[in-house]
Amino acid sequence: MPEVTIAPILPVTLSGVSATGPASASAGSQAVGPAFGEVLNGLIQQVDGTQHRADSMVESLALGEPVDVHQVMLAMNEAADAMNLTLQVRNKALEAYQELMRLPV
Amino acid sequence: MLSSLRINGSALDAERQRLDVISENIANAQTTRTPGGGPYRRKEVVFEAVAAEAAGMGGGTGAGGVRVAQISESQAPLEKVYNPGHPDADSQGYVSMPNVNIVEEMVDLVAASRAYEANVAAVNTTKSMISHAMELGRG
Repeated sequence: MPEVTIAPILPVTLSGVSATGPASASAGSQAVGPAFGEVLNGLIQQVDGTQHRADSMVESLALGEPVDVHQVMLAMNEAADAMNLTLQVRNKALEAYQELMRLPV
Repeated sequence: MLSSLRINGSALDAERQRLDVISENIANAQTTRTPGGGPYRRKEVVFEAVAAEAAGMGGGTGAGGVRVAQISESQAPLEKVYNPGHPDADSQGYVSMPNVNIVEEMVDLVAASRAYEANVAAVNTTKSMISHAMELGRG
């Protein structure tokens, strides 16, 4: 009867991933750019900035300062558009999350 | 796309300044005394295109908006009116009146107003385009 040997199961190695997992992952993400959370935070700060700018322009117009009416309207529109866009992004992210949660395990 | 809003916003600013200058011309059409001496001279605005790089926009068509480069006084000859009783009459009894032509100013006024409306229409169109873009993928 010929010898039957079962080859041992070799550990699976992924090429390109070193043994120091998390450290190399963070180094990889830093080579790409700032963390996604920071980017998101920065964008929300910008939207907040447009809202504050619109508010302060409306205030100075109401106080009678020499500010152009069309500049106030443009600032208010920019704030509304930025808020709308953020809302749409949130909706899309929520949809994607719900799709993922619907996946059967 | 938002850069086009700023471009038209700059044009609205420039037209508003032009309107200020036209209003000053119309208000001072009979002014014979100015702080600088002499009668009032008609003021004109010079518009200048703003380079896209200077305006901080990322190239593309090279459009950057408009700004008022300077407000210059017209060197057209002044109108001399014979009025010896006037306090500002010279030795021959002539008073130098401003070189402001009301008809010309009214035409400039209409032009400035129409340019303002055109820029507002462009802003509204851009805004509706942005709104339509946000409806992409809805429903």
